[in-house]
Amino acid sequence: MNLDAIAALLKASFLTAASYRVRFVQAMITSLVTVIPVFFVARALQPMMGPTIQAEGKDFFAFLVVGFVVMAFVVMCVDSLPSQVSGDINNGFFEALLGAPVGTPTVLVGMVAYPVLFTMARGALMLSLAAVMGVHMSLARIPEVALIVALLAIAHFGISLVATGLMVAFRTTLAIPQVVITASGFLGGVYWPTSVIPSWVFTVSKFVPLTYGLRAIRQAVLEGRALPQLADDVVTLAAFAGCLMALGILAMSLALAHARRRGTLSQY
Amino acid sequence: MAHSPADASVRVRELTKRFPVRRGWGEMLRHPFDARWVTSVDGVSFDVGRGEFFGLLGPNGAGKTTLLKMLATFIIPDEGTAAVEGVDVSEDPAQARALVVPVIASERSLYWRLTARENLELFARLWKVPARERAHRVDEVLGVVDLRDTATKLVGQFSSGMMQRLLIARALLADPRVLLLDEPTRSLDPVSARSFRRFLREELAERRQCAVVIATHSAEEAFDLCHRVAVLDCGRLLALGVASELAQELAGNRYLAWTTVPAHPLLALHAVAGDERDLESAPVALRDMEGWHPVALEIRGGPEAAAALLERLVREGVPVAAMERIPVSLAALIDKVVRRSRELS
Repeated sequence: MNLDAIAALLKASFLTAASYRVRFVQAMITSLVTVIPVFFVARALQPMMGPTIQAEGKDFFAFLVVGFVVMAFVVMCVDSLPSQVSGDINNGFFEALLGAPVGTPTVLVGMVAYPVLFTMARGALMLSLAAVMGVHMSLARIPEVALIVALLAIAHFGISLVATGLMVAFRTTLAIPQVVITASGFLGGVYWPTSVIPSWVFTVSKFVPLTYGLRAIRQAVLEGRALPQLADDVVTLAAFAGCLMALGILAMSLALAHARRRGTLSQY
Repeated sequence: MAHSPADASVRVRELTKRFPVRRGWGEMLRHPFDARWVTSVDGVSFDVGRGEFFGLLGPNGAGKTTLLKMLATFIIPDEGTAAVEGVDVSEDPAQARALVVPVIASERSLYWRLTARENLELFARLWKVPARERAHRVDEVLGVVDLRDTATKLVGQFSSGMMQRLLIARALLADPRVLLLDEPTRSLDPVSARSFRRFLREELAERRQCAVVIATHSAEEAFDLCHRVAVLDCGRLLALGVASELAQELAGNRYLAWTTVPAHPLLALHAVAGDERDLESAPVALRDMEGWHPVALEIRGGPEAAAALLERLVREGVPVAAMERIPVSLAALIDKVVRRSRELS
């Protein structure tokens, strides 16, 4: 992996995004503004939801804010790469990047480096505002959170690579990002704990990586639990991450080989 | 420029590529597993030496771009081999990419919200140009394509020709061993095109000994820039050689004479029906001279016979302002090669 090339692509994406000044500032402000209605809705629902989230911080506002921030990160992980590659195939940019002698993994990581950092910055802003509004977060658990976020990123970029591979080979993602985002949103415990969803759907939620990652992050940040106490969720998430990333790499490799055989790497 | 195989920078052997033919829904449902294929490149072989300019000529759909994309590792060949500086592009594409740089013609493959300099700095890092050399190299290629004065302008504000020049500058950054160009001067104004060709010849080919493979429809590039050309049609290599020699070979014995007595018996003996294309290469000054007429002649026996005829005309007092062999245009050259090949097959 060529870090200098990744940094170059990151810088180019940042300069491009920052050149759309209104959009750039609006994205930051939206992140902050989102927190305020969530605060009031959470307060209203606290008596009803409080007992169901005893193991995940007890405070429904904190529960929701962490859920929203992690969900935004997952959406970015799943959706940004296929969207970007689709656009870059259409304008010939993908071919120009793959022609560089830095290797495909470097190119792909470079393409998503800016969205990852931007989403993390927006999340940090939201969490900072939430802290100002009274949410208590355990900063001592940052290493645990970093590990879980990394595993979530690996798992969801694995899915993203499958979708990107389909885009490269067949010009469609088969709606995989949309399915994963919808399933993660409703079954991954973003808006309510997985314990309250009906039993038959609960079974499905066991196959959603976000279920484990989000629960572990809430327990670390809001309950102050250390890694040994999060081991079950972290190990399951790591298994998901390993399998999904391996699947993603395989899919992407096959897709690139297919596109190179068919000559469709830059065909619109 | 003659090259021994040992000098070859690019070596292509029996390269073949087939693509599936797109079928209609009805046919796909009736015969889901019957794939039909069209051969885009068909058993093509050639060598390109270090510092050589090699032109790919041919009508649209001849296979020129597919050939370039196979050399650039964007398309995997079905059969045959292609090697760059000894590196097989199919077996070791990663290493080949460090040696071969294609000029991607799409203007959208630039960052439009960044300046020309920022675009080049990005690609200099992608092509692993050492940090201490980057600024100098970027300046150098900006100068080559005459964009130094607009280096801090956003690319989105560039004209189409300026973007084309920037795309070329981007390819030059990498200091390639082999440069692949697909109609590189298509959007350039004549002055920029000439300056660009001069750079290619002097800097890349002569000084850096970089091999340049260029697909072109430009006569200037084929005749003046390329040491050798290959004429392709339907994926097959029909002719290979020095463009001017091929043109000479195909030109035949047609001459154009300018005289005030076009009906003179000596001229009538050789006169043939001419057409407007014969006049394409005639000097404008002659075309505008009152009383002087062009006569198309068929003179067998080569330049010696033409010289003898001219001598007789002069001796007999027939005014002749000019007499020269009618050159073959690039279009005519391609057309003749293609027709000759089709007749033979």
